[in-house]
Amino acid sequence: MDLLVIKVEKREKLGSRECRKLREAGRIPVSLYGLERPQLSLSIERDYAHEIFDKQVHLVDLELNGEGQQALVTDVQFDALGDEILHVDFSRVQRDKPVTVQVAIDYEGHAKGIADGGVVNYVENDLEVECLPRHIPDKIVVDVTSLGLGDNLAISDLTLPEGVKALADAETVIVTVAFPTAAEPSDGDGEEDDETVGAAPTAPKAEDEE
Amino acid sequence: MALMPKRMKHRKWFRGRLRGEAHRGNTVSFGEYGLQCLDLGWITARQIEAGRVAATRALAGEGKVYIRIFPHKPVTSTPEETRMGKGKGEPEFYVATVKPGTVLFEIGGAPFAKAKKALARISHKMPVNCRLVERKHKI
Repeated sequence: MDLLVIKVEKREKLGSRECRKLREAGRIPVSLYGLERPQLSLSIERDYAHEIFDKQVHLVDLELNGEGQQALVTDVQFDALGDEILHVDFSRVQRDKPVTVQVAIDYEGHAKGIADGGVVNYVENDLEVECLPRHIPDKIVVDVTSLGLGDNLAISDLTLPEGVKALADAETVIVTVAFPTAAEPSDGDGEEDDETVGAAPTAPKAEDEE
Repeated sequence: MALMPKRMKHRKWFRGRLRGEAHRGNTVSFGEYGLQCLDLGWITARQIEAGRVAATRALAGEGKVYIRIFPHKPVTSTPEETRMGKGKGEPEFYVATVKPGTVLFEIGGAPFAKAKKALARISHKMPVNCRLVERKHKI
């Protein structure tokens, strides 16, 4: 687990206009809250914000006026295209109190069921775990090489680092190698439609129109 | 069969005006890789279907294709050689309105090289500029 030390500055002027100016100057507005202490409006350098997200850093040491404060990265907001970080939320943590965090699952290997025509379905990409702040893993590596056709892996099959407890049900399936459901693509006119799953529930609704 | 609404409250819509960016439907949510739109535009049901077929063939049975957009909007047209007046034309086809950031298609369960190839094939069928995006982990 990385403990990234980040120098933060207090934001004197608040509001969206000031935040926009701040971003133009290469800094990202952040908030620090928690432990029943007052919320602080701060800013960090843009590079730090991207480092937090790219390296999946959960625990950071915020240095304000020479004083350190351990904090958990709670939320990262992106722009519409998902390129620029707009805002980061930090919450204060106590070193001896467990915290709940989402940890990325990193799937490794090529499932052997794929050779038999199976489709790997990564059901979960993140895992909610509870642990002490110093035990938060950067990611959980899962090897799927041994999965054959029709096999699956559940949370109970994972070997989590010491002191880390998964909060979801142990029987929750995280990855499966499903049997192929569709026929081979036909030759001509695009009539095959079995392999496609339309994600209708999340499709943009009609209110987008003016 | 191209996508179209099952029933409509109003058969004919105003064309509307496209502006802004997508603040919903702009993340990869089902698969591991997605095709993100970079322009404002209308994507017809036929283009969506063409993209789906192209992706399915490029994947050759591996992986899964998710369509993230739906053509809700009817587009009308008047027949050729028609005199002025006589009202608005009849609905001819349906389109999905997309904004920069909208994830159009996703692919799951396929290796990167194959997913990239399939998404590139889809992008050739789209009337807007697109790019490949990967799923982001929660933090």
